[in-house]
Amino acid sequence: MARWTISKWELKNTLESKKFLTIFLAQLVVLFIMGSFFTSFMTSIESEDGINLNPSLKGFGSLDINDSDGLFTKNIDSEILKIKKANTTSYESLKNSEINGLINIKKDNKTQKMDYNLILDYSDPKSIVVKSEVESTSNKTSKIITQEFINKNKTTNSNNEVKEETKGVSIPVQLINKIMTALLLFLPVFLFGNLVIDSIVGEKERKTGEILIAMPISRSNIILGKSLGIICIMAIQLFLWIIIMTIIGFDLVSPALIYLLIILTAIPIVGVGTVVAVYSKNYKESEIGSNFAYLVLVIILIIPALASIIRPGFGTSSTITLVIKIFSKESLSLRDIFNPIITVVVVSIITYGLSIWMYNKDEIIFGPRPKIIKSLLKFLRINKIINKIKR
Amino acid sequence: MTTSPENMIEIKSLYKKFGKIQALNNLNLNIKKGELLGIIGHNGAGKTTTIRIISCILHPDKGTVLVNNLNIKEKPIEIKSMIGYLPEEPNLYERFTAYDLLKYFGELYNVPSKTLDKRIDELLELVNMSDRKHDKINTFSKGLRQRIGIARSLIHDPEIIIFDEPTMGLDPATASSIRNFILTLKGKKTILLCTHYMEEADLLCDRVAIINHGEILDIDTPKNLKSKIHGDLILNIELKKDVETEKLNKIKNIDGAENIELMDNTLTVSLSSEDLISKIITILDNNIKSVNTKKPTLNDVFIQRIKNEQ
Repeated sequence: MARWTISKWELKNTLESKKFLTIFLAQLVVLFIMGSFFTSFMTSIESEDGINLNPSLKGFGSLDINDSDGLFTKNIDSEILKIKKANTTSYESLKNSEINGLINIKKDNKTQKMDYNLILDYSDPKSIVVKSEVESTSNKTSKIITQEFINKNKTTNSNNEVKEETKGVSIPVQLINKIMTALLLFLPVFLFGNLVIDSIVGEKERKTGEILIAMPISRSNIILGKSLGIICIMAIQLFLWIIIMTIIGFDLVSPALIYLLIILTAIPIVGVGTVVAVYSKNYKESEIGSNFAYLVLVIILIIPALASIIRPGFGTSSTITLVIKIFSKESLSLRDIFNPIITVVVVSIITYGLSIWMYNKDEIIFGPRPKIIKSLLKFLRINKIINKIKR
Repeated sequence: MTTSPENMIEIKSLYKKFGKIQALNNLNLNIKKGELLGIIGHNGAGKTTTIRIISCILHPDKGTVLVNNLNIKEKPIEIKSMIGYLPEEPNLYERFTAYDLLKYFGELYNVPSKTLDKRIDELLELVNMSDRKHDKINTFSKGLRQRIGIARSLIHDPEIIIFDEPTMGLDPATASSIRNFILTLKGKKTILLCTHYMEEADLLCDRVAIINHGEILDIDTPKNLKSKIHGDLILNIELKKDVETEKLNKIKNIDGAENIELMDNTLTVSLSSEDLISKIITILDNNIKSVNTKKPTLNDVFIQRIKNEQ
């Protein structure tokens, strides 16, 4: 009962605080702007024109081409490379670095086979770009020849028609979309994770913690009550955020499920915050501690999610991975579902267990405070084993 | 172990250490039901540690504390419900209004919501703060904060009230009004009062415990403490010149003359009766510059008791 009282008042006071409301709304606005930029970025990247993330290579180099057919010359990007028909002086020009490459193309009209001989001066740094451009033009030309060949040999039966069709967006773009959307969704939870630090350390700074401990409520309920209040605030923020993301144009698959998963993730995030808050003597210490907390969260949540992208099947312990998979509409295995839930439960048990254990220690609350390592060894009961060995 | 029926709080062989500092060292103390017991001692003597342990804020290292026959180790929640605790500094939530603060703590103490509003109004009336009900704590002076702190500690109508330095740092008028308020509670509640101010303990307390280095040196009524150590009065004689050893020994041999001290040509003697003044004056003969007497105070008792201990 008293735990709910603490949660209720934590929620009430936070939501009534003008300072908090300002930050709360400012964060929503910033998230809205970020989301809007991201959706327009994705629209551009998925469009026909695309977005070129490379620096402009206009007029980057020059290439002499010996191309009897003219097909290669037609397809090469003449904006990047200045094209000239090869002649007897071309080789000499390459040697004198007047041009950056020379290419001889031979095409067998019977087999449609095309061979090319590219001559580059590798001491010339521009040679790499010329080579890359030639390779890409070669692929493009090859596709055109293939399509022509298909068209020439196609039967009248439309059922057997060979068709090349492009649908959807490329895999890298899909990945960027999914990862960024997932990270944007989790952002409010990271932003408000330190509220619990403010709440608990604030009691120490204002010295109101002593009165709170004197209340007929166990210390574990004080920690759990405060954490619950903060999780409720996060839930409100996340709810508004999901609405904003939907309005901006994000295609959120199963928003209710995603919402629940993120709230579930908020529990250990707040738990990590409580450990920092309970151990910290003041705001200054808690700031250092919150950097440590973010590091822990990156290890638990973000690194596994990135690992899962690099190697499918890896990093299933993170709820971000699960959210990305839901966005991908992939079929989920039991491992995909249970691993993140087990991680959330285990991290929650450890963090809240440690926080409550510390909060019950007079020396942590009133001092002299023991060192972190000594406290951890005590918590894990390793000190007893060490003492036994010493004896 | 059970408490005797007249005792509300019983402390036996209590020990508490903070790092290398022994805060409490075999402390024994009984507080009777309805009694106002004062604890006096200098800084770091163990007063606050004692009341924090009784209030279940700190855990003892060793020893037993029974509150209304409940052990603090077994029933801390029940014991906390019985106690109204006012720490040295009221330390209130600055952004709360007086009403919100009392409501919050009322809810934490499980005061029924039907009666809570009425109780808040009663308490605000009691501490003369009805007109500041909806004002924020950060607009209150130190005295007003202390008053609202007292109201907070009484919100659940506790059987036991623990005040830690309730008048510390307050102006004389506010301190006096708080003392008068404590007097109105006397006899109705069991009150434990920690104070630095001896006259406050003398004025308010039924009994006073002197604490030093984490143990109780003495406990009795203020009157008995004073007479035990200083008798009826303290005689101060300013001397013209040094007193001869022979005369000093004569004074020491007077029955009823105690705590004889000679410092900077001033002789201080505790006397059991006024009649002994003439005897001392006769012994000192014409070596007397001035004579004055005073009734012993708790401050004198405290200083003497600590001195004896050293």
